[in-house]
Amino acid sequence: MTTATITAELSVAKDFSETPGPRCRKDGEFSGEGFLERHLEPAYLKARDEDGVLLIDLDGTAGYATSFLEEAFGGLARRYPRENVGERLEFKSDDEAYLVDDIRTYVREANDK
Amino acid sequence: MEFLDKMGRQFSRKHSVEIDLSATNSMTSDAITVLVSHLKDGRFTHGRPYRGNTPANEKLKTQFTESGFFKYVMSAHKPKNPEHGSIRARSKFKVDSRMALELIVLATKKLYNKYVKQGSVYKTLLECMNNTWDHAAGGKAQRERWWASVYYDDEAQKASFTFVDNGVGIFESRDPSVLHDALVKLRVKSNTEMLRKMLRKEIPSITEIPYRGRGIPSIYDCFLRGEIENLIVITNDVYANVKSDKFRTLNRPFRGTFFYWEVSK
Repeated sequence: MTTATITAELSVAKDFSETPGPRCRKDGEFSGEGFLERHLEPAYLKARDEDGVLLIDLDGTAGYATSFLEEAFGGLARRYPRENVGERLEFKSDDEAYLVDDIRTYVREANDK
Repeated sequence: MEFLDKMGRQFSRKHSVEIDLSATNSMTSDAITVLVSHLKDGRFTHGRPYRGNTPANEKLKTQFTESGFFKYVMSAHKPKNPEHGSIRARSKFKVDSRMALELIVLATKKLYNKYVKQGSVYKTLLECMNNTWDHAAGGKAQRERWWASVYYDDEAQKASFTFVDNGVGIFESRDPSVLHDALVKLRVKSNTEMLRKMLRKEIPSITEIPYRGRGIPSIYDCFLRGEIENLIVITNDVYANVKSDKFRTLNRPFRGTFFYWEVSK
């Protein structure tokens, strides 16, 4: 948990899709790969540059496949230091509270082989 | 499965098949989906023609009509919009998230008279779709067709979801030597035991990349949270009734993967 200020917000449902899809673009629409590259990474970099925190709203979608979340958040932690990724992200997930723990695990285990 | 096995033997002998359902009094919605998935699979019918009649039992006849079955077979009973169910086949994408939502909307409008988010059902449908690509085509470039369905039972007040593909199944999807090595390494004696461990996240996915092995365990997590009920998995020679924790080896293997679960109020 960080004490830094929330400087950026991202809603998966409003900014990306209400029906998040698979891991990769080749597998279907609204992929984790697409979300990472078009939305999550730019928003993360903005928050990092401002020494702030990115708040991600997970509510309002139909749900999530694990592969979507792993590719998006684990994928971010494979591109940038995972400790930093973990500190710069906060989540709102009233619909499915367990998703936050899942995502934290994906970030923590992003590079495990 | 015995019925399909008999039918498949007739097709493989290049016979046309007449399916007599007139004396059938009950059939579950998952069996109807599996029947459609086989009848529309040229590898099963060998391109041979088939025809059939409808059950004399009015309740079952209505179930066939309302399930969406007649959307896929030539029939005078073809309804424009079945209200209690829908059977869908893979169309453009491996993972069709919009289709998953459409099935959930149908189910929850029947259950609650309005759309209610079902994150676990959505997750389970997407994991099943994802699994067909990763496993059902046996590691080849071939795209496996899958079928997903929902049926709402007025009397039981429950929605039944079925997902089926007629690919190679989880345990024949990779090089047999890889699977054999995994069984030895993990000291697992059978596919039955292997599936039990896969569900419980006790082994990595057979993709051998740990972070990619979360799909099937996440379905089990949905079941443990009580958000999907009566989960049944059939693949290759394994039958798993997760609720009763009955895992057994089938004498007659299932070519592909089958998932069934229910949602009730």
